[in-house]
Amino acid sequence: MEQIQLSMQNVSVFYGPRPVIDDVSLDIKPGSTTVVLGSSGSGKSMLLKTLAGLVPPNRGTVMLNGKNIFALSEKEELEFRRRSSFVFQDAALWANRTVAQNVRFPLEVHYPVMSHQQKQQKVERYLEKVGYQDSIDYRPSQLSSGEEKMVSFARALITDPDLLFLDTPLVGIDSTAAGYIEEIIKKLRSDGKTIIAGLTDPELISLIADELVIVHKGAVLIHGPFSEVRRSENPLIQKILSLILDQAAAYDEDILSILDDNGGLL
Amino acid sequence: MGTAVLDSFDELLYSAGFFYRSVVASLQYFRRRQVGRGVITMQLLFTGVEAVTVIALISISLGAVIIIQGVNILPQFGQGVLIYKILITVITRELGPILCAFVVIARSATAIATELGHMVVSHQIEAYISTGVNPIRYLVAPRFIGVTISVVLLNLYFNVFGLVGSYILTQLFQPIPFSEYFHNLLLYLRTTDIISSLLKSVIFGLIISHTATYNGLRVQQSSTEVPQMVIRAVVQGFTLCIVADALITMVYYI
Repeated sequence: MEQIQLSMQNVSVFYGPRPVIDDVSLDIKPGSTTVVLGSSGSGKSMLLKTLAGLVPPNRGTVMLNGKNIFALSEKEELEFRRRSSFVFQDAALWANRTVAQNVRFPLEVHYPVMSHQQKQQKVERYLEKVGYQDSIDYRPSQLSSGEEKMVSFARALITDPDLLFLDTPLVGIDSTAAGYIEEIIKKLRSDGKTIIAGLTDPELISLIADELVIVHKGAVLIHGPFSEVRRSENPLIQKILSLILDQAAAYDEDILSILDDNGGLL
Repeated sequence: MGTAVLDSFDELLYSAGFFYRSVVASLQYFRRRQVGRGVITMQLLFTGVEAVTVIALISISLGAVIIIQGVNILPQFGQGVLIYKILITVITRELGPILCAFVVIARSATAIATELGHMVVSHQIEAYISTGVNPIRYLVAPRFIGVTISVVLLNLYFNVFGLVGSYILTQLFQPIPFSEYFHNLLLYLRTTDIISSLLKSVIFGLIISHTATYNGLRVQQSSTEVPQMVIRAVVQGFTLCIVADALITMVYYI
Protein backbone atom coordinates (compact mmCIF):
# COMPACT_ATOMS: atom_id res chain seq x y z
CA MET A 1 0.00 0.00 0.00
CA GLU A 2 1.25 3.46 -0.91
CA GLN A 3 2.72 5.40 2.01
CA ILE A 4 1.04 8.66 2.93
CA GLN A 5 3.27 11.62 2.00
CA LEU A 6 2.03 14.83 3.57
CA SER A 7 3.48 18.30 3.18
CA MET A 8 2.49 21.95 3.24
CA GLN A 9 3.98 24.79 1.23
CA ASN A 10 3.82 28.45 2.25
CA VAL A 11 0.55 27.92 4.09
CA SER A 12 -1.16 30.83 5.84
CA VAL A 13 -4.49 30.76 7.66
CA PHE A 14 -6.13 33.99 8.76
CA TYR A 15 -8.74 34.82 11.38
CA GLY A 16 -9.69 38.28 10.18
CA PRO A 17 -6.50 40.23 9.49
CA ARG A 18 -4.40 38.17 11.94
CA PRO A 19 -2.52 35.09 10.66
CA VAL A 20 -3.04 32.02 12.85
CA ILE A 21 -0.67 30.10 10.62
CA ASP A 22 1.96 32.27 8.97
CA ASP A 23 3.71 31.08 5.81
CA VAL A 24 4.47 27.56 7.02
CA SER A 25 6.20 24.92 4.93
CA LEU A 26 6.57 21.40 6.32
CA ASP A 27 7.37 17.88 5.12
CA ILE A 28 6.12 15.00 7.23
CA LYS A 29 8.29 11.88 7.12
CA PRO A 30 6.14 8.77 6.62
CA GLY A 31 6.37 6.35 9.54
CA SER A 32 7.77 8.97 11.90
CA THR A 33 6.35 10.67 14.95
CA THR A 34 6.32 14.43 14.59
CA VAL A 35 5.59 16.41 17.73
CA VAL A 36 4.36 19.98 17.38
CA LEU A 37 5.38 22.15 20.33
CA GLY A 38 4.37 25.66 21.21
CA SER A 39 2.73 27.70 23.91
CA SER A 40 -1.06 28.05 24.16
CA GLY A 41 -2.46 29.97 21.22
CA SER A 42 0.67 29.50 19.14
CA GLY A 43 -1.30 27.78 16.34
CA LYS A 44 -0.59 24.08 17.07
CA SER A 45 -4.21 22.94 16.67
CA MET A 46 -4.73 24.99 13.52
CA LEU A 47 -1.52 23.60 12.05
CA LEU A 48 -2.71 20.03 12.68
CA LYS A 49 -6.18 20.74 11.27
CA THR A 50 -4.77 22.39 8.16
CA LEU A 51 -2.35 19.49 7.60
CA ALA A 52 -5.26 17.06 8.03
CA GLY A 53 -7.28 18.88 5.38
CA LEU A 54 -9.96 19.99 7.82
CA VAL A 55 -9.33 23.74 7.53
CA PRO A 56 -8.56 25.13 4.07
CA PRO A 57 -5.67 27.61 4.06
CA ASN A 58 -6.09 31.18 2.81
CA ARG A 59 -2.70 30.92 1.08
CA GLY A 60 -0.43 28.05 0.09
CA THR A 61 -1.17 24.37 -0.47
CA VAL A 62 -1.33 21.19 1.55
CA MET A 63 -0.13 18.25 -0.55
CA LEU A 64 -1.08 14.60 -0.10
CA ASN A 65 1.04 12.27 -2.23
CA GLY A 66 1.73 15.14 -4.63
CA LYS A 67 -1.91 16.28 -4.93
CA ASN A 68 -3.64 19.26 -3.34
CA ILE A 69 -5.53 17.77 -0.38
CA PHE A 70 -8.47 20.13 -0.97
CA ALA A 71 -8.82 19.08 -4.62
CA LEU A 72 -8.92 15.30 -4.22
CA SER A 73 -11.53 13.26 -6.05
CA GLU A 74 -14.31 11.85 -3.87
CA LYS A 75 -12.74 8.37 -4.00
CA GLU A 76 -9.26 9.68 -3.09
CA GLU A 77 -10.64 11.72 -0.22
CA LEU A 78 -12.60 8.77 1.19
CA GLU A 79 -9.48 6.58 0.94
CA PHE A 80 -7.39 9.24 2.74
CA ARG A 81 -10.01 9.56 5.49
CA ARG A 82 -10.11 5.79 5.91
CA ARG A 83 -6.33 5.71 6.35
CA SER A 84 -6.15 8.72 8.69
CA SER A 85 -7.79 9.76 11.94
CA PHE A 86 -7.93 12.85 14.08
CA VAL A 87 -8.19 13.01 17.87
CA PHE A 88 -9.55 16.43 18.77
CA GLN A 89 -8.47 18.48 21.76
CA ASP A 90 -12.04 18.58 23.09
CA ALA A 91 -12.90 15.01 21.93
CA ALA A 92 -15.58 16.35 19.50
CA LEU A 93 -17.91 13.40 20.05
CA TRP A 94 -21.24 13.60 18.23
CA ALA A 95 -23.69 14.69 20.89
CA ASN A 96 -26.72 12.97 19.37
CA ARG A 97 -25.03 9.56 19.29
CA THR A 98 -24.29 7.11 22.08
CA VAL A 99 -20.72 6.06 22.93
CA ALA A 100 -21.14 2.87 20.86
CA GLN A 101 -22.62 4.79 17.92
CA ASN A 102 -19.78 7.33 18.03
CA VAL A 103 -17.11 4.65 17.86
CA ARG A 104 -19.03 2.59 15.29
CA PHE A 105 -19.69 5.48 12.88
CA PRO A 106 -16.32 5.38 11.02
CA LEU A 107 -16.91 1.66 10.38
CA GLU A 108 -20.34 2.47 8.92
CA VAL A 109 -18.73 4.99 6.59
CA HIS A 110 -15.75 2.91 5.47
CA TYR A 111 -16.89 -0.69 5.92
CA PRO A 112 -20.58 -0.72 4.96
CA VAL A 113 -20.59 -4.46 4.26
CA MET A 114 -19.28 -5.42 7.73
CA SER A 115 -22.07 -7.02 9.78
CA HIS A 116 -23.58 -5.15 12.71
CA GLN A 117 -22.38 -7.85 15.08
CA GLN A 118 -18.78 -7.61 13.84
CA LYS A 119 -18.88 -3.84 14.18
CA GLN A 120 -20.29 -4.10 17.69
CA GLN A 121 -17.57 -6.56 18.75
CA LYS A 122 -14.91 -4.29 17.32
CA VAL A 123 -16.40 -1.27 19.14
CA GLU A 124 -16.35 -3.12 22.47
CA ARG A 125 -12.76 -4.32 21.88
CA TYR A 126 -11.46 -0.83 21.10
CA LEU A 127 -13.31 0.75 24.03
CA GLU A 128 -11.72 -1.83 26.30
CA LYS A 129 -8.33 -1.14 24.71
CA VAL A 130 -8.50 2.55 25.68
CA GLY A 131 -9.66 1.73 29.20
CA TYR A 132 -13.30 2.85 28.88
CA GLN A 133 -15.37 0.99 31.44
CA ASP A 134 -18.73 2.77 31.58
CA SER A 135 -21.95 2.06 29.65
CA ILE A 136 -21.67 2.10 25.85
CA ASP A 137 -25.23 3.44 25.71
CA TYR A 138 -24.34 6.72 27.40
CA ARG A 139 -24.45 9.97 25.47
CA PRO A 140 -21.31 12.16 25.46
CA SER A 141 -23.00 14.62 27.85
CA GLN A 142 -23.08 11.85 30.49
CA LEU A 143 -19.31 11.27 30.33
CA SER A 144 -16.43 12.92 32.15
CA SER A 145 -13.92 14.77 29.97
CA GLY A 146 -11.43 11.92 30.46
CA GLU A 147 -13.98 9.36 29.29
CA GLU A 148 -14.84 11.54 26.28
CA LYS A 149 -11.15 11.56 25.36
CA MET A 150 -10.97 7.75 25.67
CA VAL A 151 -14.02 7.32 23.45
CA SER A 152 -12.63 9.75 20.87
CA PHE A 153 -9.40 7.77 20.87
CA ALA A 154 -11.30 4.53 20.29
CA ARG A 155 -13.22 6.24 17.45
CA ALA A 156 -9.95 7.33 15.86
CA LEU A 157 -8.31 3.91 16.13
CA ILE A 158 -11.18 1.70 15.05
CA THR A 159 -10.38 1.90 11.32
CA ASP A 160 -6.72 1.03 12.02
CA PRO A 161 -5.38 4.22 10.41
CA ASP A 162 -1.84 4.63 9.03
CA LEU A 163 -1.76 8.34 9.87
CA LEU A 164 -2.89 9.84 13.17
CA PHE A 165 -3.33 13.46 14.12
CA LEU A 166 -3.40 13.88 17.89
CA ASP A 167 -4.33 17.29 19.22
CA THR A 168 -3.12 17.35 22.85
CA PRO A 169 -4.60 13.90 23.58
CA LEU A 170 -3.58 13.76 27.24
CA VAL A 171 -5.00 17.09 28.37
CA GLY A 172 -7.89 16.85 30.84
CA ILE A 173 -7.61 13.15 31.62
CA ASP A 174 -6.60 11.34 34.78
CA SER A 175 -3.36 9.40 35.16
CA THR A 176 -4.98 5.98 34.63
CA ALA A 177 -6.55 7.01 31.33
CA ALA A 178 -3.35 8.81 30.35
CA GLY A 179 -1.45 5.58 31.03
CA TYR A 180 -3.69 3.62 28.64
CA ILE A 181 -3.39 6.29 25.94
CA GLU A 182 0.39 6.63 26.33
CA GLU A 183 0.76 2.88 25.85
CA ILE A 184 -1.38 3.01 22.71
CA ILE A 185 0.65 5.89 21.27
CA LYS A 186 3.92 4.01 21.94
CA LYS A 187 2.46 0.88 20.29
CA LEU A 188 1.30 2.88 17.25
CA ARG A 189 4.80 4.32 16.92
CA SER A 190 6.45 0.93 17.15
CA ASP A 191 3.99 -0.33 14.49
CA GLY A 192 5.41 2.29 12.12
CA LYS A 193 2.33 4.52 11.95
CA THR A 194 2.79 8.15 11.03
CA ILE A 195 1.86 10.29 14.03
CA ILE A 196 1.56 14.07 14.07
CA ALA A 197 0.85 15.21 17.59
CA GLY A 198 0.52 18.36 19.59
CA LEU A 199 1.78 17.18 22.96
CA THR A 200 2.55 18.85 26.27
CA ASP A 201 3.67 15.84 28.28
CA PRO A 202 7.50 16.14 28.53
CA GLU A 203 8.09 12.48 29.32
CA LEU A 204 5.99 11.23 26.42
CA ILE A 205 7.59 13.74 24.05
CA SER A 206 11.05 12.50 24.99
CA LEU A 207 9.95 8.90 24.48
CA ILE A 208 8.20 9.11 21.13
CA ALA A 209 9.27 12.24 19.21
CA ASP A 210 11.35 11.55 16.12
CA GLU A 211 10.85 15.05 14.77
CA LEU A 212 10.03 18.30 16.55
CA VAL A 213 8.22 21.28 15.09
CA ILE A 214 8.30 24.40 17.23
CA VAL A 215 5.53 26.87 16.54
CA HIS A 216 5.47 30.45 17.75
CA LYS A 217 2.75 32.99 16.81
CA GLY A 218 1.68 30.82 13.88
CA ALA A 219 5.16 30.50 12.36
CA VAL A 220 7.43 27.46 12.45
CA LEU A 221 10.64 28.40 14.25
CA ILE A 222 12.38 25.11 13.61
CA HIS A 223 11.59 21.64 12.27
CA GLY A 224 14.00 18.75 12.48
CA PRO A 225 15.07 15.63 14.34
CA PHE A 226 14.42 15.84 18.08
CA SER A 227 18.13 15.71 19.01
CA GLU A 228 19.03 18.50 16.57
CA VAL A 229 16.22 20.78 17.68
CA ARG A 230 17.20 20.31 21.34
CA ARG A 231 20.71 21.48 20.47
CA SER A 232 19.49 24.68 18.80
CA GLU A 233 21.05 27.83 20.23
CA ASN A 234 18.18 30.11 19.25
CA PRO A 235 17.13 31.70 22.61
CA LEU A 236 13.40 31.64 21.74
CA ILE A 237 13.55 27.94 20.85
CA GLN A 238 15.50 27.22 24.02
CA LYS A 239 12.93 29.14 26.06
CA ILE A 240 9.97 27.22 24.55
CA LEU A 241 11.79 23.90 24.96
CA SER A 242 12.65 24.63 28.55
CA LEU A 243 9.08 25.74 29.29
CA ILE A 244 7.60 22.54 27.91
CA LEU A 245 10.25 19.84 28.20
CA ASP A 246 11.68 20.92 31.54
CA GLN A 247 8.28 21.20 33.21
CA ALA A 248 8.84 17.93 35.01
CA ALA A 249 12.20 19.03 36.35
CA ALA A 250 10.81 22.39 37.43
CA TYR A 251 7.92 20.65 39.13
CA ASP A 252 10.29 18.32 40.96
CA GLU A 253 12.35 21.31 42.13
CA ASP A 254 9.19 23.06 43.36
CA ILE A 255 8.23 20.01 45.35
CA LEU A 256 11.74 19.66 46.79
CA SER A 257 11.82 23.30 47.81
CA ILE A 258 8.87 22.84 50.16
CA LEU A 259 10.19 19.64 51.71
CA ASP A 260 12.75 19.48 54.50
CA ASP A 261 15.80 17.21 54.47
CA ASN A 262 13.77 14.30 55.87
CA GLY A 263 11.03 14.62 53.25
CA GLY A 264 8.56 16.35 55.55
CA LEU A 265 6.86 19.67 54.88
CA LEU A 266 8.85 22.71 55.93
CA MET B 1 -18.36 51.81 2.96
CA GLY B 2 -16.74 50.23 -0.11
CA THR B 3 -15.39 47.36 1.98
CA ALA B 4 -18.83 46.75 3.48
CA VAL B 5 -20.41 46.56 0.02
CA LEU B 6 -17.67 44.18 -1.18
CA ASP B 7 -18.11 42.01 1.95
CA SER B 8 -21.88 41.86 1.38
CA PHE B 9 -21.32 40.90 -2.25
CA ASP B 10 -18.82 38.21 -1.18
CA GLU B 11 -21.31 36.83 1.34
CA LEU B 12 -24.06 36.80 -1.28
CA LEU B 13 -21.83 34.85 -3.66
CA TYR B 14 -20.84 32.43 -0.89
CA SER B 15 -24.47 31.95 0.08
CA ALA B 16 -25.41 31.31 -3.57
CA GLY B 17 -22.60 28.74 -3.86
CA PHE B 18 -23.76 27.05 -0.65
CA PHE B 19 -27.37 26.97 -1.98
CA TYR B 20 -26.21 25.45 -5.27
CA ARG B 21 -24.19 22.73 -3.51
CA SER B 22 -27.09 22.01 -1.14
CA VAL B 23 -29.55 21.62 -4.03
CA VAL B 24 -27.14 19.35 -5.96
CA ALA B 25 -26.52 17.23 -2.83
CA SER B 26 -30.27 17.01 -2.22
CA LEU B 27 -30.97 15.92 -5.81
CA GLN B 28 -28.29 13.22 -5.51
CA TYR B 29 -29.35 12.17 -2.02
CA PHE B 30 -31.35 9.06 -2.92
CA ARG B 31 -28.95 7.94 -5.67
CA ARG B 32 -25.89 7.78 -3.43
CA ARG B 33 -24.87 5.31 -0.77
CA GLN B 34 -25.58 7.21 2.41
CA VAL B 35 -24.85 6.61 6.05
CA GLY B 36 -27.60 7.61 8.45
CA ARG B 37 -30.72 7.83 6.31
CA GLY B 38 -32.46 8.33 9.67
CA VAL B 39 -31.63 12.05 9.57
CA ILE B 40 -34.25 12.70 6.88
CA THR B 41 -36.89 10.63 8.72
CA MET B 42 -36.25 12.55 11.94
CA GLN B 43 -36.48 15.86 10.07
CA LEU B 44 -39.81 14.89 8.48
CA LEU B 45 -41.12 13.75 11.84
CA PHE B 46 -40.08 16.92 13.67
CA THR B 47 -41.02 19.43 10.97
CA GLY B 48 -43.83 17.76 9.05
CA VAL B 49 -45.61 15.67 11.68
CA GLU B 50 -45.11 17.30 15.07
CA ALA B 51 -46.29 20.67 13.70
CA VAL B 52 -49.66 19.30 12.54
CA THR B 53 -51.47 20.25 15.77
CA VAL B 54 -50.38 23.90 15.55
CA ILE B 55 -51.22 24.05 11.84
CA ALA B 56 -54.64 22.44 12.45
CA LEU B 57 -55.52 24.93 15.21
CA ILE B 58 -54.45 27.95 13.14
CA SER B 59 -56.18 26.84 9.93
CA ILE B 60 -59.46 25.71 11.54
CA SER B 61 -59.68 28.96 13.51
CA LEU B 62 -58.85 31.10 10.48
CA GLY B 63 -61.29 29.23 8.22
CA ALA B 64 -64.04 29.43 10.83
CA VAL B 65 -63.55 33.20 11.23
CA ILE B 66 -63.75 33.71 7.44
CA ILE B 67 -66.88 31.58 7.13
CA ILE B 68 -68.71 33.19 10.08
CA GLN B 69 -67.79 36.74 9.04
CA GLY B 70 -68.53 36.07 5.38
CA VAL B 71 -71.89 34.40 5.98
CA ASN B 72 -72.99 37.33 8.18
CA ILE B 73 -71.59 40.29 6.22
CA LEU B 74 -71.42 39.39 2.51
CA PRO B 75 -75.17 38.60 1.97
CA GLN B 76 -75.94 42.17 3.14
CA PHE B 77 -74.25 43.34 -0.08
CA GLY B 78 -75.76 40.58 -2.19
CA GLN B 79 -72.33 38.91 -2.50
CA GLY B 80 -72.86 35.81 -0.34
CA VAL B 81 -71.22 33.56 -2.92
CA LEU B 82 -67.94 35.52 -2.59
CA ILE B 83 -67.26 33.61 0.65
CA TYR B 84 -65.87 30.70 -1.41
CA LYS B 85 -63.59 32.95 -3.44
CA ILE B 86 -62.31 34.56 -0.22
CA LEU B 87 -61.78 31.14 1.42
CA ILE B 88 -59.70 29.90 -1.51
CA THR B 89 -57.74 33.14 -1.82
CA VAL B 90 -56.95 33.29 1.90
CA ILE B 91 -56.56 29.61 2.84
CA THR B 92 -55.20 28.05 -0.35
CA ARG B 93 -53.34 30.79 -2.13
CA GLU B 94 -52.13 33.33 0.38
CA LEU B 95 -52.17 32.65 4.11
CA GLY B 96 -51.86 28.85 3.91
CA PRO B 97 -48.34 28.73 2.46
CA ILE B 98 -47.02 31.78 4.34
CA LEU B 99 -48.41 30.78 7.76
CA CYS B 100 -47.02 27.26 7.33
CA ALA B 101 -43.67 28.84 6.48
CA PHE B 102 -43.82 31.02 9.61
CA VAL B 103 -44.60 28.01 11.80
CA VAL B 104 -41.71 26.05 10.26
CA ILE B 105 -39.32 29.02 10.69
CA ALA B 106 -40.33 29.37 14.34
CA ARG B 107 -40.08 25.66 15.14
CA SER B 108 -37.59 24.06 12.76
CA ALA B 109 -35.34 26.76 11.31
CA THR B 110 -34.41 27.85 14.84
CA ALA B 111 -33.77 24.23 15.88
CA ILE B 112 -31.66 23.48 12.78
CA ALA B 113 -29.55 26.66 13.05
CA THR B 114 -29.00 26.08 16.79
CA GLU B 115 -28.04 22.42 16.34
CA LEU B 116 -25.62 23.08 13.47
CA GLY B 117 -24.12 26.10 15.27
CA HIS B 118 -23.39 24.04 18.36
CA MET B 119 -21.93 21.29 16.19
CA VAL B 120 -19.50 23.80 14.67
CA VAL B 121 -18.44 25.17 18.07
CA SER B 122 -17.82 21.70 19.54
CA HIS B 123 -15.90 20.63 16.39
CA GLN B 124 -18.41 17.90 15.55
CA ILE B 125 -18.51 19.09 11.93
CA GLU B 126 -14.71 18.76 11.70
CA ALA B 127 -15.07 15.28 13.23
CA TYR B 128 -17.47 14.35 10.40
CA ILE B 129 -15.02 15.66 7.79
CA SER B 130 -12.13 13.75 9.39
CA THR B 131 -14.24 10.58 9.17
CA GLY B 132 -14.81 11.10 5.45
CA VAL B 133 -18.35 12.43 5.68
CA ASN B 134 -19.26 15.49 3.63
CA PRO B 135 -21.31 17.77 5.94
CA ILE B 136 -23.35 19.20 3.05
CA ARG B 137 -24.39 15.74 1.93
CA TYR B 138 -24.86 14.30 5.40
CA LEU B 139 -26.19 17.24 7.42
CA VAL B 140 -27.56 19.80 4.96
CA ALA B 141 -29.17 17.69 2.20
CA PRO B 142 -31.51 15.69 4.49
CA ARG B 143 -32.63 18.91 6.20
CA PHE B 144 -33.19 20.54 2.81
CA ILE B 145 -35.33 17.64 1.62
CA GLY B 146 -37.07 17.15 4.98
CA VAL B 147 -37.97 20.81 5.48
CA THR B 148 -39.14 21.35 1.87
CA ILE B 149 -41.35 18.24 1.85
CA SER B 150 -42.66 19.20 5.30
CA VAL B 151 -43.68 22.73 4.23
CA VAL B 152 -45.57 21.26 1.25
CA LEU B 153 -47.27 18.66 3.48
CA LEU B 154 -48.14 21.22 6.15
CA ASN B 155 -49.68 23.44 3.47
CA LEU B 156 -51.78 20.47 2.37
CA TYR B 157 -52.92 19.86 5.96
CA PHE B 158 -53.59 23.59 6.31
CA ASN B 159 -55.93 23.46 3.31
CA VAL B 160 -57.71 20.34 4.52
CA PHE B 161 -58.20 21.71 8.03
CA GLY B 162 -58.93 25.25 6.84
CA LEU B 163 -61.52 24.28 4.25
CA VAL B 164 -63.05 21.11 5.72
CA GLY B 165 -62.34 21.41 9.45
CA SER B 166 -63.55 24.96 9.66
CA TYR B 167 -66.76 23.97 7.82
CA ILE B 168 -67.45 21.29 10.44
CA LEU B 169 -66.74 23.76 13.27
CA THR B 170 -69.00 26.48 11.86
CA GLN B 171 -71.91 24.00 11.63
CA LEU B 172 -72.27 24.50 15.38
CA PHE B 173 -73.04 28.21 14.92
CA GLN B 174 -73.94 28.83 11.28
CA PRO B 175 -75.19 25.74 9.43
CA ILE B 176 -74.51 25.67 5.67
CA PRO B 177 -75.73 22.69 3.60
CA PHE B 178 -72.85 20.27 2.98
CA SER B 179 -73.45 19.87 -0.78
CA GLU B 180 -73.82 23.64 -1.30
CA TYR B 181 -70.56 24.41 0.53
CA PHE B 182 -68.35 21.85 -1.23
CA HIS B 183 -69.98 22.29 -4.64
CA ASN B 184 -69.31 26.04 -4.56
CA LEU B 185 -65.83 25.58 -3.12
CA LEU B 186 -64.80 23.24 -5.96
CA LEU B 187 -66.47 25.54 -8.48
CA TYR B 188 -64.26 28.45 -7.45
CA LEU B 189 -61.06 26.42 -6.91
CA ARG B 190 -58.88 26.67 -10.02
CA THR B 191 -55.80 24.68 -11.02
CA THR B 192 -53.74 27.89 -10.93
CA ASP B 193 -54.70 28.34 -7.25
CA ILE B 194 -53.32 24.88 -6.46
CA ILE B 195 -50.16 25.44 -8.54
CA SER B 196 -49.54 28.84 -6.95
CA SER B 197 -49.98 27.35 -3.46
CA LEU B 198 -47.68 24.40 -4.18
CA LEU B 199 -45.05 26.60 -5.82
CA LYS B 200 -45.02 28.91 -2.82
CA SER B 201 -44.61 25.96 -0.42
CA VAL B 202 -41.67 24.54 -2.36
CA ILE B 203 -39.95 27.93 -2.60
CA PHE B 204 -40.58 28.73 1.07
CA GLY B 205 -39.23 25.29 2.01
CA LEU B 206 -36.03 25.93 0.06
CA ILE B 207 -35.66 29.42 1.57
CA ILE B 208 -36.20 28.18 5.14
CA SER B 209 -33.84 25.21 4.84
CA HIS B 210 -31.18 27.38 3.18
CA THR B 211 -31.28 30.23 5.71
CA ALA B 212 -31.33 27.77 8.64
CA THR B 213 -28.46 25.54 7.50
CA TYR B 214 -26.35 28.36 6.05
CA ASN B 215 -26.54 30.53 9.16
CA GLY B 216 -26.08 27.53 11.47
CA LEU B 217 -22.86 26.61 9.70
CA ARG B 218 -21.70 30.26 9.62
CA VAL B 219 -20.99 30.04 13.38
CA GLN B 220 -17.22 30.05 13.74
CA GLN B 221 -15.79 29.68 17.21
CA SER B 222 -17.93 30.82 20.07
CA SER B 223 -21.23 29.60 21.47
CA THR B 224 -22.31 33.25 21.81
CA GLU B 225 -22.47 33.37 17.99
CA VAL B 226 -25.17 30.67 17.98
CA PRO B 227 -28.14 32.86 19.08
CA GLN B 228 -26.95 35.63 16.74
CA MET B 229 -26.98 33.25 13.77
CA VAL B 230 -30.36 31.81 14.83
CA ILE B 231 -31.81 35.34 14.81
CA ARG B 232 -30.29 35.91 11.36
CA ALA B 233 -31.82 32.65 10.12
CA VAL B 234 -35.26 33.70 11.41
CA VAL B 235 -35.12 37.28 10.09
CA GLN B 236 -33.78 36.21 6.68
CA GLY B 237 -36.34 33.38 6.52
CA PHE B 238 -39.29 35.68 7.27
CA THR B 239 -38.07 38.43 4.94
CA LEU B 240 -37.24 36.21 1.96
CA CYS B 241 -40.50 34.24 2.30
CA ILE B 242 -42.58 37.45 2.29
CA VAL B 243 -40.66 38.88 -0.67
CA ALA B 244 -41.01 35.58 -2.59
CA ASP B 245 -44.72 35.48 -1.69
CA ALA B 246 -45.24 38.98 -3.09
CA LEU B 247 -43.35 38.12 -6.30
CA ILE B 248 -45.31 34.90 -6.92
CA THR B 249 -48.62 36.71 -6.24
CA MET B 250 -47.65 39.47 -8.70
CA VAL B 251 -46.76 36.87 -11.35
CA TYR B 252 -50.13 35.15 -10.69
CA TYR B 253 -52.03 38.31 -11.66
CA ILE B 254 -49.92 39.18 -14.73
